[in-house]
Amino acid sequence: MNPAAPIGSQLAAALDTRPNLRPPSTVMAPEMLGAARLTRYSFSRMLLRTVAREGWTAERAHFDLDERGQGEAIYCWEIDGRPFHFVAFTRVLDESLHTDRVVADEWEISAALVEGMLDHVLLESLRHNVPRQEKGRLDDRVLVLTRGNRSVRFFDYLVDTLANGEQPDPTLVGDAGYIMRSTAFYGNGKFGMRSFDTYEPEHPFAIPYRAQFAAAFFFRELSYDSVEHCARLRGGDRAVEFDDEWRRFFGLGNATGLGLVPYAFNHPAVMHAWASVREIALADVRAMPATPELVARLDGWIERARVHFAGGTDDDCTPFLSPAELVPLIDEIAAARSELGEVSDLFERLYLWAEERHPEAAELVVSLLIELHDADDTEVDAWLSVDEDRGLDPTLTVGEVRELLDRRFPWLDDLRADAALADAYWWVVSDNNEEPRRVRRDRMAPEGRDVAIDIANRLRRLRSTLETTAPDRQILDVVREHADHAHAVRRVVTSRHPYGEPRDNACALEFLPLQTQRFQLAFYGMDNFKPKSTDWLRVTLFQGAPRLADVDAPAVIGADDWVLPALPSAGSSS
Amino acid sequence: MTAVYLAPRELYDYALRIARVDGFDPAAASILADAVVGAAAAGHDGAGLFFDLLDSTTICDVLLAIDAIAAGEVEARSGVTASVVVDPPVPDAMLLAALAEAERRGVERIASSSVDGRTTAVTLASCEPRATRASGRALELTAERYAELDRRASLFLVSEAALDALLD
Repeated sequence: MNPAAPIGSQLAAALDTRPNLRPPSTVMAPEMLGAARLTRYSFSRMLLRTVAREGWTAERAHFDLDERGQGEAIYCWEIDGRPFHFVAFTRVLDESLHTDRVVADEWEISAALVEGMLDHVLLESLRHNVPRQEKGRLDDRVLVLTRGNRSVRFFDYLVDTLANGEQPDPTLVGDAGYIMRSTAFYGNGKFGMRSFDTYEPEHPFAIPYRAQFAAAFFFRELSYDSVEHCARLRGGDRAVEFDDEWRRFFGLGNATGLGLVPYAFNHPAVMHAWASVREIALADVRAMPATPELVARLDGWIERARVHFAGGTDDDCTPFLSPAELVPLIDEIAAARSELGEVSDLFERLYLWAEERHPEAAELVVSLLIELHDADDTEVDAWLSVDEDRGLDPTLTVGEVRELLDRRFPWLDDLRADAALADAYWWVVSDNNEEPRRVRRDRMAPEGRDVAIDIANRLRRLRSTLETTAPDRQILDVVREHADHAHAVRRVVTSRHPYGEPRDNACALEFLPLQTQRFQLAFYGMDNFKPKSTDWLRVTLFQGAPRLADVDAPAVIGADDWVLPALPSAGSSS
Repeated sequence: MTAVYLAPRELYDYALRIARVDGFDPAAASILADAVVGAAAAGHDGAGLFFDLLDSTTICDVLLAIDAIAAGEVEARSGVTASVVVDPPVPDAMLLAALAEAERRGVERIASSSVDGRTTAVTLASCEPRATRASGRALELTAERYAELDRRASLFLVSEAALDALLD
């Protein structure tokens, strides 16, 4: 990593040296976004490799929960002599108050990641503000704010089971893969927290989303500790802890709604960086000769994926494939891999085979191939830092902007233009915890309250105007005459990133938010995509990952061999 | 008086929403929000200036001034010194973000004149592009100012109950 290089330049240079990148028309197509899977460069996995590489240590510093799991718990990362505390407040809500939606008023778990030492004054402030979530005010010692609930189905069952000296029945709890479910990881200056921009370059959390995932790691740890603590108090001497098969199986659940969608359409530089990391890795692997060692590793990952999905359910996951539906797909992949034999360009051929299949098959192959990639993580960290320029160069002419528009947005014509279909929804922020939602235009008028992610529609209108404007006129003149085009002009000029734009119209009647959400969630490292409507879904994070007790063993925490865990066997011994 | 600390992006979001509710297009609202943050980051009462301009219905003057600076930038980048008349004058602080943005593209302010803290003219010339990164330090507001910001920005939000009713 070269800290002196301009932001974005290292990523641009890396892309320039890969001639076999997939085109944006493939990568950013909605159906491909909606098939994305986690890779070894997802945030969760990058975090744990960083923990190992940099020698982070972790401890449970304080744990004061009652027999129902209510109280306070504090976990601490120590990174190069700097402490970061995850401070959690827990209580039990009546089941009727459980909701996955961001708009809930009450949560069973609320927590914050705090930089530096804790004192009584700060703790008192956290006790007051953290449970209030969006209604609280924090200060810049706080880096992340999060919350969630226990799984109503599983928490008490797991406590009872361990209290009785038994291990869980995989047929009862294996399908969800989590004990607690989070809903948001706020950071970057929200509610008074520290801005991402203020992290000095050597700060451990100067990499995008690293702080959020450092908090999520402890959130998951809290879920395990809470169950075992309650079981111990309930079962006494009979109680046991999770055995080796179960102690890693559960991840942290997450419920995700529409909030991700405006982010995807408003941050082209970020989308580009995320997609680029994956595409660079894929391009490299496709070009790698298939040595026996690499082929054996690939075969191992295919088999691992098969075992993992075979342990899942056949629940309806439309528009995605359920775990059960993925199994025959993996069998096809395994068969194709066998038929290709021992050719030296096996990885390229396997990818080309997959490209012609169902998007879920293609993206599954992509994620499996990327397991063979081995980039320098610090270089990948540098690629993820972006400069989100919003400025408009006033010297541009109409002709220049039109050329940019045609070159950067050739896909506009692939979208439906009929206003009734293309402009059916507008995006809104609800007054309840500021949850983004979408609303039919024919049922409520925006009146200046719309979140401006109607990019495709704005660009189309701009193009119509530019087509009838002299090319040598300055674009400033057009913006003066048509103020409503200013947003689109800015977007055309600043959207210089090939993978920056989801090739979709967020306001269209047929727009499917789940597709954009899945791309983002996959990059976070989420898996087990379980849609609950067209607008929100449940996922799992860190399933199979090492635990706090493994942090001191770099070979374990950094092994990066934990994704796609097998369902524990029935009657695993305690 | 209790202070409230806001991250620049939080102040930006508030100002953007307020401008949108006041009728500004997303791009104009974004320019105004940048202006408010630019003023606040330089130690001025950015939110207070913003409210005064909104309440006196002179907020469009800021957009006109920023537009004039953009036009001056075009001239300056052709190699000449550009004289920009800011008429009507606007608070100096509200132009800081636009001037910083011009610097990123290689045009700097070499002179300016102002009356009672309001810029009346700016002289621009080309320079080496300076990619100054905006400060992310927390901005201090009085509790009253913050409450006003929150109140005005809340008009951008739509009632959850009304949204739910549409689903029925």
